[in-house]
Amino acid sequence: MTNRSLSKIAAALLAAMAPASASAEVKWAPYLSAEVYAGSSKFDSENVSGPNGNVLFVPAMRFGENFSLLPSIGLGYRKSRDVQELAGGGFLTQEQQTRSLGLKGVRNVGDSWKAKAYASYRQELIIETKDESWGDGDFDYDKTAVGVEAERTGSAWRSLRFGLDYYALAFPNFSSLAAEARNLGITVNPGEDVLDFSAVDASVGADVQLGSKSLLSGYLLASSRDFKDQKIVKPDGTYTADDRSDTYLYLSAGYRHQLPQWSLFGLGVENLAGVDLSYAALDSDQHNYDAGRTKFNENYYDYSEIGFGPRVNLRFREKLTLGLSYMLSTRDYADRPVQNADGTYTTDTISSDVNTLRVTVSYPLLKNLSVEGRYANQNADSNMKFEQTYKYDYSSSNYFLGLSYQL
Amino acid sequence: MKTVRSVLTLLIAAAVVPLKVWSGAELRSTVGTVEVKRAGSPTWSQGRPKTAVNNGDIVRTGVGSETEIKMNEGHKMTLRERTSLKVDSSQSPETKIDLLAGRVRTFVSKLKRQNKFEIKTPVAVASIRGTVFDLEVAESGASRLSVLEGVVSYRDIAGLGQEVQVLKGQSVLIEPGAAPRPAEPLPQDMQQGILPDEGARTAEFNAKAEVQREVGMAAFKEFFQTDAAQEMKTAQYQEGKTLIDAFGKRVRLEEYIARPAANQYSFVALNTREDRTDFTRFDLYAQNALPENISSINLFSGATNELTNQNNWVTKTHRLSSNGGDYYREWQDGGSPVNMNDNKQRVVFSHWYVEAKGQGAAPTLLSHWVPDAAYLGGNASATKTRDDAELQSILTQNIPSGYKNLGDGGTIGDVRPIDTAGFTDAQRLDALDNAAVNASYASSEGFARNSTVRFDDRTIAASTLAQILNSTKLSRVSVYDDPAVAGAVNHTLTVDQYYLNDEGDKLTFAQAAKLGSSVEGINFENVFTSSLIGNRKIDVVISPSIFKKAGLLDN
Repeated sequence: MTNRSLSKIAAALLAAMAPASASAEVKWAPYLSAEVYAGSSKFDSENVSGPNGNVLFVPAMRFGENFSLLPSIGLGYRKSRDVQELAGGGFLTQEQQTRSLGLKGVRNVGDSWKAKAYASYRQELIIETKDESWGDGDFDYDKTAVGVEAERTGSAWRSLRFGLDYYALAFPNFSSLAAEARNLGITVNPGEDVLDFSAVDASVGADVQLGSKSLLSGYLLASSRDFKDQKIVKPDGTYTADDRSDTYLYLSAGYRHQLPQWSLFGLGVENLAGVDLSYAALDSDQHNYDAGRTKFNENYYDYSEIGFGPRVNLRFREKLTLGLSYMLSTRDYADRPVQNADGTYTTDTISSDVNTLRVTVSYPLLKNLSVEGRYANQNADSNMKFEQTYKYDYSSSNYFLGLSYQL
Repeated sequence: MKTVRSVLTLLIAAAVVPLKVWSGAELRSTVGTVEVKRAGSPTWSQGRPKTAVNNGDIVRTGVGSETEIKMNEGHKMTLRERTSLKVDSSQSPETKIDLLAGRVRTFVSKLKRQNKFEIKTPVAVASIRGTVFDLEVAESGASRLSVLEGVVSYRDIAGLGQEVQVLKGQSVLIEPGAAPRPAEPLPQDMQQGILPDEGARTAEFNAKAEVQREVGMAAFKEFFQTDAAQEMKTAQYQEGKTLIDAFGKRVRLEEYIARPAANQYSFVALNTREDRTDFTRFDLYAQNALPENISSINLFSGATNELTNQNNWVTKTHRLSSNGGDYYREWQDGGSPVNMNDNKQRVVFSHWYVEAKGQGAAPTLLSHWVPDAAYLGGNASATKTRDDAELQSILTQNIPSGYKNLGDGGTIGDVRPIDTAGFTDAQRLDALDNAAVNASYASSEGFARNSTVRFDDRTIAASTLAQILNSTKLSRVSVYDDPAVAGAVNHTLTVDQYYLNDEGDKLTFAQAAKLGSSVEGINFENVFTSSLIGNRKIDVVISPSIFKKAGLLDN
């Protein structure tokens, strides 16, 4: 499906949702979010410092009582990275820009239901090495997405959502070097646009009020991903004519509970405590052939991952907020073999644990303007000992201090 | 009778209790964080529609929150965000509110003569009789009263000034420790009596909250979609397809295997950098069909210290490195196992060629080596020294161990150059499979080679052992001399070699030596430059294990 097709579908959906009467009064509800941070990231013993910032503007429009249109435009720049992005890769990423555009329509259907449709575009530009410049990064990508959602809101079941999304990811500067190989007379066909894929995501989400102080949230996502031109590798290192196809499943549950207020040095402290649990699994029909070691690795990409962690948010005198969260996630690869430090393969399969601690502090300075500090620390541990291409055991952290403005 | 009286008492009590609740006030609508602290209680509880508000209770709203309190006589108070007020008395005849912070809009129903409605701030008191007004308290305590309908009596709490009657359309400010300021006109829209529509305000507020919520949900979905992109990138790193070279430039490395025939094995390593593509292609031909996994067999020699007949061996190899225009290549032909006197079989090739070619130029056969007679006869150590000068002798050897230049004994270069006119570039590249081309090469001689080895650009003689061990760059600088022209230097070829990890960190030779026979997990970068290719570079990074397994790194 091309971007043009996606645009047509999105336009048709939004037109179908628009109010029948063109004379409906338009009311504006603009939303602006802007953040500027300076900070530093640390991976093992290396440091990178620099500014991060992003802005999102949504000049939302309300047409009458039942229809809203939310255009959005976003820009972002990052020099310092989050611990999540540091995983395994050392400090290859130097700078990143994001640009996004979106349009979403929300239509009330009766008292409880809302029908939504959206189309969005996102571009990410990444400079990873000294010799790259904006726009020619190997891992630059474009993402085009359309989707629909039906949401029911109520009192006990505060939200129940059913979503269907389609998106296409394209890495315009990245293609395999197979064409060059063919020019050398070697017939290999791993495909050319090997990273590009499109996905259909079906999701169900729910927020349930439990009593007056507790909220239970759940989310289920099933994603079917078809690769545009990534051929499946065979045990002898050559390729079949079939393209890769993956299935991704994600299931999460979160519980939040408002605890009684208590006093600390005469300050009233409000508490919101919670716990999160998640499960994710990837099932791919692709394998891996390590040509350097002439080793075929079946079901190389398949994994399951479990995450668990508590969180607490404290608010002092209605102003100073402090958020603490911890997450332990364990990823087990189904068949990806462990390698010794020298790269030789063993019969064990890779298992990795990642511990992440996050701390956020926020204090309002003026109306809509807050000063915020963020700190995160991540430690990873794995039975994989071969780390020449990717770090499986590492410690990373980052901290940022900046301003957040929301209108 | 007593029983009947008791029942009646209970019924009356049951009727009175709810009446007591209705006699106070209650929350109507709530948006966002609305909380109530009961009189005498240290804790806050969530305020929801129909939550009763009794005398002494405090109601507060959070950031972006709003609520409405309705009183028994129909009075209504709308608390804006970040407002806190205490209900001193919500019942007739005297309704008293203590506005602690924030802003309220108050709708006061018409009062009976004896009734009173009063709102107090830290510095001011407003007494009302049937009106609509805004009362706002700043953090300093300064309190501004804006009257929209009716008349409000307004005075400072300290009694510094006279009570003023604030009329419809007027606004009066009282600052801490000061008398009321003169009345000011309301903003134009209020002056005209256009009261902000409460319904519209709530709708506006709800719309903004809705927008924020939709933005949050969109970000949640975006997370999964961008995370999928991140996974694609991570996989490239995990598979070692992206690395940094010895010069700090990012290289994409892809290596492919092909099996053109049952007895043939091809390997290609492709490098792309920002502005160039380089590659190495290696072809191996075996005597018999190869198994699927060739890593388990050795096609170049038999088992150590065991003279066993190899059931399969390499007959031909071809390795070519190119930058797309220029190339450097080595190829071997006529391989067959020989029983060596060290109780081991070893494959000996009948021809070993080295050639370089600049883009658009004719190729130049630099070396043509053939096996030394003693080596071919099984003397494994005939030309392989293992004495004290081993390092220097191996490093500076001008020909591979066991081989000699074609033409040794006569004059090297007698039968040079190769036939460049009779064959196309493609035919020459196909020398191993093209009999006519092969015959042309087999009768051509190369040059005499004089090599110098440098560590970090220092010669061996100029280096200490420590400097050698700590160096990260090994260079072989070869001069190919044309014996037909006395004293003339014809061609140069420099090959710089680096061992490095994926992040571009170069290993010293001491570190490389510790790896022993294992070269797993490190990359091997070869940079060729030659006068034959206009001193341009051919710069290839490979995972060397495939060559190690093929026995090529021993040579």
